Amino acid sequence: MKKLNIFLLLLLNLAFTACEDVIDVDVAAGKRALVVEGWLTNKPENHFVKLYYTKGTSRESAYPALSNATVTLRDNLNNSEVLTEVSPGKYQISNLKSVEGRTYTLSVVSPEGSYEAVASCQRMCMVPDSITFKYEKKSTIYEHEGYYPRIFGQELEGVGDFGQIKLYRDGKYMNSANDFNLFKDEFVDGNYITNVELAVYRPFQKGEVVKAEIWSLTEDAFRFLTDIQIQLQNGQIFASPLENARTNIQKKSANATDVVGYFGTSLVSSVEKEVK
Amino acid sequence: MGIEVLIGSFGNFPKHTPYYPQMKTLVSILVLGIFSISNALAQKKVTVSGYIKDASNGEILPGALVTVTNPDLKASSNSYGFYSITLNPGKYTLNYNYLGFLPSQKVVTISKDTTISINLSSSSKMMDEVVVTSGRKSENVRKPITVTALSINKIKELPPMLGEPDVIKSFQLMPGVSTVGEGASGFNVRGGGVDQNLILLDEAPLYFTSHLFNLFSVTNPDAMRDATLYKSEMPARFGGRLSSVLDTRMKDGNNQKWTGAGGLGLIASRFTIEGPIKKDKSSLIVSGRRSYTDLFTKQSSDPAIRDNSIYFYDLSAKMNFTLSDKDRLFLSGYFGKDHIEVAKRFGMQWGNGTGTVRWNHVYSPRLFSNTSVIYSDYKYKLGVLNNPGTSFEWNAGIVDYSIKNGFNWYISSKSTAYFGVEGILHEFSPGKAEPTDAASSFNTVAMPGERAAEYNAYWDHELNLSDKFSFEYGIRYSALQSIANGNTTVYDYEGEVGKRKQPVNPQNFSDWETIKWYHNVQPRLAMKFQTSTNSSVKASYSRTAQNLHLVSNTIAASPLDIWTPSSYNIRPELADQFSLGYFRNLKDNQYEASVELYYRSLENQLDFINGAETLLNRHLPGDMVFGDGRAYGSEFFLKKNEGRLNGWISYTLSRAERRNPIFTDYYPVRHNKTHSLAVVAVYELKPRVVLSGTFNFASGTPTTLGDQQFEFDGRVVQYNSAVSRNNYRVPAYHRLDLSTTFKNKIKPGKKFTSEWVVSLYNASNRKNPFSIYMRQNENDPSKLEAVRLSVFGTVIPSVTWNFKF
Repeated sequence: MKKLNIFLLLLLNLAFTACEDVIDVDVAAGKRALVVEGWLTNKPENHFVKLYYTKGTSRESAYPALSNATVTLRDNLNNSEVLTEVSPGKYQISNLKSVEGRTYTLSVVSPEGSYEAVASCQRMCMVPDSITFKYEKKSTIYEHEGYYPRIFGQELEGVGDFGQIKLYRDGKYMNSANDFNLFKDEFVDGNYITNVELAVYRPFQKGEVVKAEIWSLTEDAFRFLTDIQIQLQNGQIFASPLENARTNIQKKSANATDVVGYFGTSLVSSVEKEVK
Repeated sequence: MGIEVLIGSFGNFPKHTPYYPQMKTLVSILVLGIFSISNALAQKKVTVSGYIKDASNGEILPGALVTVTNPDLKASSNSYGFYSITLNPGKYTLNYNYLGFLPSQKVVTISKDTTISINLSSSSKMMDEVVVTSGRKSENVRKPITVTALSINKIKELPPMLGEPDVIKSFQLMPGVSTVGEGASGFNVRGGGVDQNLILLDEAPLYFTSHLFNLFSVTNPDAMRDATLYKSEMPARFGGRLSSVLDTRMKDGNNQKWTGAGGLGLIASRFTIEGPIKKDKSSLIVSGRRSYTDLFTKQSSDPAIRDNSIYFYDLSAKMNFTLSDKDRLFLSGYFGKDHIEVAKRFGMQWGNGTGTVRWNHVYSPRLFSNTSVIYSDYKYKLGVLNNPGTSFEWNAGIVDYSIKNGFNWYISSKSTAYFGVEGILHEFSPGKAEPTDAASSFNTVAMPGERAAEYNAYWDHELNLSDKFSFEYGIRYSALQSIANGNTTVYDYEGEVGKRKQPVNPQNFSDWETIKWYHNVQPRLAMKFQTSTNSSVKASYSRTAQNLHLVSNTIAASPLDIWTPSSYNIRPELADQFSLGYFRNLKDNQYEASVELYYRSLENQLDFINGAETLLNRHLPGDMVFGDGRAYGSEFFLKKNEGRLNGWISYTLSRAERRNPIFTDYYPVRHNKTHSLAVVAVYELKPRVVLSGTFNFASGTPTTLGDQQFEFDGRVVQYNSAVSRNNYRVPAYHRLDLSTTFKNKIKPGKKFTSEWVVSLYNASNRKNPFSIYMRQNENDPSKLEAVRLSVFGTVIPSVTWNFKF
């Protein structure tokens, strides 16, 4: 679906003299909402849950943090911990790590209201075994010349696996709208994934070290990330109407402030290679 | 609305009961009509009938006027050029009129049924180039049904986009007709969606109407005769779509002599040849068009250009045979295709193919019939090429088989009935993706096919009760049978409003088994009250039902959007429209003026939940929501038909809104334009130089922008805190197009003529916004920036050379 839209967009540029200009728009700032951003993985590092407020679109100000909330994480085996606020609005998960098959519940109690998010940890969707690079010259499809990554690996038998492939260039996370790679196995179930090109905004150059992390996702988390991806890559004449990204954060008290964001859990597996 | 409600109400037949009072009225009118029939039969009247044609080429003239004085009677020719007028035996003067043609008069004494076929001659050699209407002189005031007609000659005078005259873009200059923006295929009529117009090419429906993302319409102007749009009232003989019918007719072909015409443009060229197979009896017309930018790009040394290939072509052919005085046979075919290949990696093709066989038979001077067998095929294909491991090809399409039999019954000079039956079988292939490599990452994915049959019957009766009052009432019955295409499982869908619903209660059907029936009775009524010789007031009501739905979640319809029939979970879309209009012609029909008001309500409008997957989704109904809508507005129109300076001004003030279980308050639809103005002027500067210009102004269309933002995983995310649709209005649109036609001198004794058309599209070089949206800032992924998209960011000049021989 996403590929199709990009494709159509591209064609349109070919067919027309279409042009895009950055302009100022004045959208009346709406009502702010609470943002919950958190993800737990099996990586050894500490994980964080951030609580802050949305701000008016394109306003220069910083996002206001929500401090002094009581944030608790527990799993379905009754392991639990209370998160410590290490800086304003940033709460640290020190002990729990995600384990396949477990379900985690994040609770937030704050003056804005009480909230809860439930996330289960899915099996690894695809075990990556290698990355290769293909040099592409500048063309209609490749805006920039350079090395484009392709991934290989075995997809596990059984439909219902979802994942995100996060890319790092020399250790730096690539977070542009076009570095977004989401994966579902509906059309590739059980196959050996061969030569699948990953989307990158800027291709790699010789000497750069590329790391690809595969994060397993639930279908729900996949949909949340897909919503963001559609938003970020939505434009041109085949755009669809702006829709709010779905959230798994639920209000648990009456009159709680509206809430957006996501709390998810994943298993992470990675593969790394230097471009030569 | 819960899913239980939806399913619960499916079984009712006929479901739409609030219209029983109207139905009763109609039944009594019907009885009245039959009375007048028996009266007519009792008086032993006689009938004059025949065909009205263009003397120069044998093309029929639909809508030509036949008048008789003492008593004053009028009749007009139908879309096959046939007319019939019933009189008491006696001596009469028959006048034949068609705008742009010399009137013809016949003085005849009639004692029995008589056939008089007439050939009219152009009123001047140059005249056929400046014919403004398609000849329906004063019909706008006189007839209860209002049509918007454009002859192909008129369309050719308007400034062309890239040198190609365009039927659909020309209609967008009419009141009540608009588009969501340049580059968007199709058109919107009175707030309806692009899928709510029935676009017919020689009676065959077209599903996607543009080449190269709406640079061109799929119909070749040289092969066209005329196009008629029904938007105020839809006569009962038409149906299947909610908003309008655009009835385009191809030429029959010159049955007098062989002639040709063509044009060379910057992007595309076209060529048409036509002539008699047997003079006066049969003729042939073949017309082709192809774009050729790909031929130039292939020569490029830059692979970034060379490896792309974009072209379209279309080909149409038509033959007609006069088998006897009473029988005419027409065979016509159309085939058009777009082909796009990018960097030898992506490929895409789409195209329509249609074939029509029609047989006109005159059973009696007062009973004319047309029988059509129509095949229509819309296909598209998409592929990733030359990419080992991930290459695939995706195919989808719709095939229609239809058979129709319609009658025109000229009951008396004051009463004409149209009635008939139609059957259509639709076969849908919503998509099959197959890997094209031996070792592929992909599995073959095939969406289950769908199948539906439509059965329609109609009765449409025009009655002129007096000089002052006439009306046309009709009733159209349509049934849809949803049929299993292969072994099929259907589900009910349950879940929360606004979220993806889950399939439950599977029910299995084997191939060709009926899954569900829908029945719709659609009353239509149009009334005219003549306020003076040159003016009238009209009022109408139409109910329309639609059983084919475009599954599109994007601003502009794309050639990849799938169509789906009414089925187990999708009910027919319904519309009720009320129109009121005042029509007045001035200075002996030189000027036409009208004001119309309309109100339309819509039911079962298809929409989607957040993040719906519209392609390759086996449980698409689980992502659908059904809403209702309303549209209202006023339309003003002033047209000058004749003279060196002619043209029109149209202005529409309107609003179109929808709501659904997710967005429960009415919101303006994406193609809603509050104000829309079009000015069209054609000026004959010298006999061989014609200037033309169009100016468009329209309010900006609404769009949705986030009013709040947050960040997730280092990326900025928009949030629309009001959870509303279309909270922001794109700036207003205006565009000026200009063109000049230089006609070359005709050499004495030669029939070769040619002309140059020089045009400037978007002459004021305005970057008209198609839409405004937010995107991530390239250098700072945590920031949003607003972007204005202009489909045509510059003035587009073009030069075309047209010829005729």
